[in-house]
Amino acid sequence: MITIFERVSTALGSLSPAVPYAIAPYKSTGALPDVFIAYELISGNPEAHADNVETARTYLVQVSIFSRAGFIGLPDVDAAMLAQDFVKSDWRQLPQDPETFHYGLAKDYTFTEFF
Amino acid sequence: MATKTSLKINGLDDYIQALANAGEDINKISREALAEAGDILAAEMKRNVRVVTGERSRNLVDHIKIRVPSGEGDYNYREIGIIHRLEFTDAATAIQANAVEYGSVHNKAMPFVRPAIRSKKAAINALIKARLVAAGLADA
Repeated sequence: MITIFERVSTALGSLSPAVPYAIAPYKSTGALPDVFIAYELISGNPEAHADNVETARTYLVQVSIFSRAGFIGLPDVDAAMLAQDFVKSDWRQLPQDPETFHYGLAKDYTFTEFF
Repeated sequence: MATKTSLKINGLDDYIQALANAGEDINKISREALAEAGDILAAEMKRNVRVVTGERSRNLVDHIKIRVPSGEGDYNYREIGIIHRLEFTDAATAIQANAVEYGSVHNKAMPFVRPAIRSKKAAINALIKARLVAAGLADA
């Protein structure tokens, strides 16, 4: 069974053209790319049990897209995540970073795993 | 091509009368249940929140609050967390809380609101249902 992190990585790795991505915080030895993606697990809560055994768990994953150019022409993260059976959830615009000048868009996705 | 239709439902009079009779009780019970739920959520947010150190950092635990709106009408709710109203939260604290919850270019998110909602959702739903059932306003 693949982990939630592998599932996110598979989704983001399928973006075309490719966009640099990493689990948050995105680390770079040099200057940050103009566009990059950072993801992280926000929560993973059990949803159902049977005979004292967990039978379902829902994960909430945040995928943050950072771009110096703003929000036009961002990579189609939705399509990539939906292809890995995630469900779209809330979006939130992040304040522009005063040092790197990246704009940020945080997108939440859920995935329910059944055992 | 039809542009309208008619629907008719019989037998609503008794139901509407029952709702009207119970209206005051429903609001009272709802507000009491929401108060309990709010306390649960606020406690979980405080348990989750990381203390960020630094000269200009706020202790967000002290800023997690519950706003109780005026109890008028039938729309009952509570606001829980970092309340986006100046009388509750100053601008610098709101900016810090946003960065803690959602992260930034430099920092990963250290969420305290979303995990609290996710982890307590089932318990709060059960609590509200139990209060309505106990008051005879819902079936068990």
